[in-house]
Amino acid sequence: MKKSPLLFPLLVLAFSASAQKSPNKPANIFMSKLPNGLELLVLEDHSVPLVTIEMAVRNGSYTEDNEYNGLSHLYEHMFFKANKDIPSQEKYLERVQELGISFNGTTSQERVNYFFTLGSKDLDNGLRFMNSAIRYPLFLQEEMKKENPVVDGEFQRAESNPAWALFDKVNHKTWGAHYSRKNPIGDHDIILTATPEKMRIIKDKYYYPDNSILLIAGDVKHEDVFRRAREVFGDWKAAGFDPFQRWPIPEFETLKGKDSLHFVTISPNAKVPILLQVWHGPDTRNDIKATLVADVFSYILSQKNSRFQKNLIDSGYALNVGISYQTAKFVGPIQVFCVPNPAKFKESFKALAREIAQFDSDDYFTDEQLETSKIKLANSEKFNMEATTDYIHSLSFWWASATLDYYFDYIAELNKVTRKDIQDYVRKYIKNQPSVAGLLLSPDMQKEWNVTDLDALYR
Amino acid sequence: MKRIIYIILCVCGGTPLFAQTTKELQVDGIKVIFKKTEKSVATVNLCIRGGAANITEAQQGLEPLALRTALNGGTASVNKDALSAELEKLGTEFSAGAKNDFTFMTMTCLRDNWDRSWALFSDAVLHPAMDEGEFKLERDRMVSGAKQLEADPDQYLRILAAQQLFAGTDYAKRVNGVPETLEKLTLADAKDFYKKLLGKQRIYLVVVGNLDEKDIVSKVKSTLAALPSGEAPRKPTAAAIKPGVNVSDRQLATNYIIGFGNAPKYYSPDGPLFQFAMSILYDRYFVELRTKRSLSYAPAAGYNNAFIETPAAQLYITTVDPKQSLEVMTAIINDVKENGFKPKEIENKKKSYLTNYYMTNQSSGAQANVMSTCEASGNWRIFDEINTRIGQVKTEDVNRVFGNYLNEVQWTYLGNKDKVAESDFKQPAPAKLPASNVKKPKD
Repeated sequence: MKKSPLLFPLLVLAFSASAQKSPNKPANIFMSKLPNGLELLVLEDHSVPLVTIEMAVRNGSYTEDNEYNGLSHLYEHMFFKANKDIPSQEKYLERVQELGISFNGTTSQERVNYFFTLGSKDLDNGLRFMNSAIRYPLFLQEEMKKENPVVDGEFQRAESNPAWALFDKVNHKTWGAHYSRKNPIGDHDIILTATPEKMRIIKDKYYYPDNSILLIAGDVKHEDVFRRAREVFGDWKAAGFDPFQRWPIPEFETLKGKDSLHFVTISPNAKVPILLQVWHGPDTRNDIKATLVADVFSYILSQKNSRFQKNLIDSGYALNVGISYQTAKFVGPIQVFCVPNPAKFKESFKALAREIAQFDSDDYFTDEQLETSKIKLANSEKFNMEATTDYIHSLSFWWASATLDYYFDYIAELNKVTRKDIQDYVRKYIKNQPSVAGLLLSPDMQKEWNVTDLDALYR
Repeated sequence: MKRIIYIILCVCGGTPLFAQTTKELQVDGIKVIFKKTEKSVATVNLCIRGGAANITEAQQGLEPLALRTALNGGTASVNKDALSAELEKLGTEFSAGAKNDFTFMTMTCLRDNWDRSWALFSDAVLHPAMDEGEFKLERDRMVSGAKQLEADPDQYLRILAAQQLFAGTDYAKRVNGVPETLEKLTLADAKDFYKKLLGKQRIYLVVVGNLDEKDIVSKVKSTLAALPSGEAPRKPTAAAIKPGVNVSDRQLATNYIIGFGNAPKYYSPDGPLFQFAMSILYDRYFVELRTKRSLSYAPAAGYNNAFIETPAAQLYITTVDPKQSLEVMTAIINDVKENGFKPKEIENKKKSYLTNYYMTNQSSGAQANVMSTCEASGNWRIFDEINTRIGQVKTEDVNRVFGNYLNEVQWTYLGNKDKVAESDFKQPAPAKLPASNVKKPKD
C-alpha cells in the first residue's frame, strides 16, 4: 500500500515526545502529548475489565480571589450538567446509567479533576462523554440556580462538624489576606450568587488542553488510547498562553507575630479537645528537596517507636498525635494534629513544645528509623497502586502540585535524604519559626481547665 | 460533585469472572475462604462470629479493645517495640475492629513479605503478651474515639437510630463502646474475654492475595489449628423495624435525617433483589431531591446490612428544609409502589452494578471485607452467586420485593427541632403492586 507522504509528519506531531524523561517511570505507564498541549497518560492494568477516564485541570482555590472563592468547586459541579451534546442534567444522569458509569469529581487547592469508571469496551463512549462535558458546558441559568444551594449544602455539612470552626480559623490565620487561595469550599454568599458569566470567565482562563492532562487507566492498550484521544480531543483549541503568567497566584505573606496567631475556640458540640498547629512549609517551586525531606521526617515521627510517639502517646500526654506535610506548589503546610489526654491536659502542651524543640537534635531519631521511614514511604506507594481507579488520582495530584517526573523519581530521591537534611528542614521551617495554633474546646472543658490563653499552656 | 455511592455490597450482572478463583477449605476444623488474585498485596481477615451477642452492656467495646491489645502489644517471644519496628519495615499492618455481627483481626502485607507477616500475625493471635501499656493506650484512644463519634452528626445520627430501633436487644449495644463502659474495663477483663473468645467454632478466615493454596493450608495447620473448639457462636438478638419518630435537638448548619424500613435478609432469595431495588431508589432520590429540587447535597437510599439479623432499607438526607424533603422522599417511594421501576432502569442498573463489582475486585482488602460480610450474612458464596442472580433479575421481581418490604419507616432526626413536627415524618403507602400483575410503565 502506498503511504501518504503527509502521514508521517502528522504522526510525529500527534505523538510528540512527552516531557517526562524519568527512567523510574513504571513500565505500565505510557505518556504522550497532543499538538494542542493536552498531556496524555495511560496506565495499563488488565486485572479487571474496566477503564477509568480522568481529566485534571490546573484550577482550584489557588486561582480564586475573594470574589471567586468557592467557584472552582461550583464549576466542577456544573461539569456534570448540560452541555452541547446532552441537554440537561437529567439526561446527563440517564447517560451515566446507560453506560454503567461510576463518576465523581474533586476540587482542591491546586487541582480540579473529573473521572468516570466504566466497562473498558465502552472506552470510546467514555472519551466522547468526557469531551462533551469538559469542552462544551452550557452553564444554563436554571441549572445553576438549582446547583448553588446544593453546593452550599455540601459546605453546611462540613460546618456541622465542630472541628470545622477550628480548621477554618486556623486557615484564616495561616493564609491571611490570601485565605481564599487555600479554601476550596469557598464563601456562602459567593456560592449562592454565582452566575453563568462567572463560570464562563473561569472556563476562558483555565479550561484548555495545554492546562490539562487526560489520564486513562485500566484494561486498555496505550497505542489505541493515544490514537482515540487524538481523534476526540485533537481539535480542542489550545489557549496559547500560560494562565499563571497572565493571572499570577499571589505569594503568601510569611507568618508574623506570635500571640495573635494562637487562639482557643469554643464549640458546644465538641466532645474532646483538639489542637492544630501549622507552619508554612516548603513548596515544589522553591525548595523541592525540602518537600521530600518533609515526607521522610513525617514518616519517622509516625513510627510507634519514634521519640515523638513514645514521649507523647506512650507517656500519656496525648491520645493521638501526628505531623504531616502537604506537598504543594504554593506553600505546603506542615501540620501537627494532637488530641491532648484529658488526664494530663495542661502538661500535654509543654510536652509537645519540648518535642518540637528537640526535632533537630542529633539523636532525635535513629538511623534505623530514618531507613524505616524511606521503606514505609516506598511501600505505601505499592499499596496505592493496588486499586488503579484510585491510583490515577494520585498521579494527577502530583502532576498538578509538582510534576510527574517528581513523582516517578520520588522514591529514588527520598532515599538520598540524610540526617543533616532533616535538621536543616526543621530549622528552616519549624523550630523557632512562626506558627498558627488553635485549640478546640467545649464550654465545659474550658471551664474545667480554665483555659483562655493558649500560649500560657505552652509556657 | 461527589460520587453516586451505592450503599451495597458488591453485585454484578454478566459473566461470573471471579467465581472460579475462590475456594472454601476446611483446615483442621477451621473454615478458610481463599481467593487467589494477581496483585502484590495480600489481606487476611480472621473473623469471629457473634458481635453484639458476645458482650454484655457493661462490656460494650471490650471485644475490639481485647483484639487490638492482643495484636499490637507484642507476643510472648517478641516484645511490643520489636514487633512494631519489624512490621513497619515490612510494610505490614495489623488492625482489628468490631461490627454488630462479627469482629475481625486483619493483616495486610505485600506478597513478597507474606511468610514473615503471617508468622508475626499468627504469633500475635495465638500468643499475645496482652501488654498493660498497650491496653491503657488503646482504651484511652477508644474513649476519645467514642466521644468524637458523638460530636460528628452523621455518626451520632446512626447511634441514635440504632438505640431507638433495637432497644432491649443485642443490637442496642455499641460494639465499639461508650465512654462510660470503656473507662471501667480492665486488662484482666480483656485477657479473660480474649481467652474464651477464640475458638474454631466461632472463627473463619478470609484470605485474598496472589498466594498458594497449599501454603495457606500448611500455615493454618501449623498455627491456628492449635486453637480450641470453643463455644458455638450466638446470633445477636434483634427487633423488627416499627414505624416511629425520634427527634434530637442540636444546633447545626444543616439537619440530618435517617429512616430505616424493613428489608429481607441478605442470604434470602429476596435479599439481593431488594438491594438492587434500593440502589435504583438511590438514583431516583438523587434526581428528584438533589437535581430537580435542590433540597440536599446528599440524599441517599440503600440496603443497610450493618445489622445482619435485621437488615434495613435505609433512607437518608441532610437538608435545611426537612419538612419538604420528608414529603418528597416518601412520595418517591409511593410512586414506585404505584407505578413500579421502569424496565430500562433495571437494565441500566445491571450495568452500573457490574462496574461497582469490578471496582471492588481491584483491592485485596475490599474483597476480603465483602466476603467476610457475606459469610457473616449466610455464606461467602453470595459474592460469586450474585453475578448470576442479578444478571437474571426481572422488573416484576424487583417491583415485588420493593412493594413487599418497604412499608414502615422508623425515622431519626438530628438538628433544629423547631424545623419539624412529628407529622412531617411520613409513612409509605401500603404495597399496591401485586406480585402477578405488575403494571408496565411507559418508557
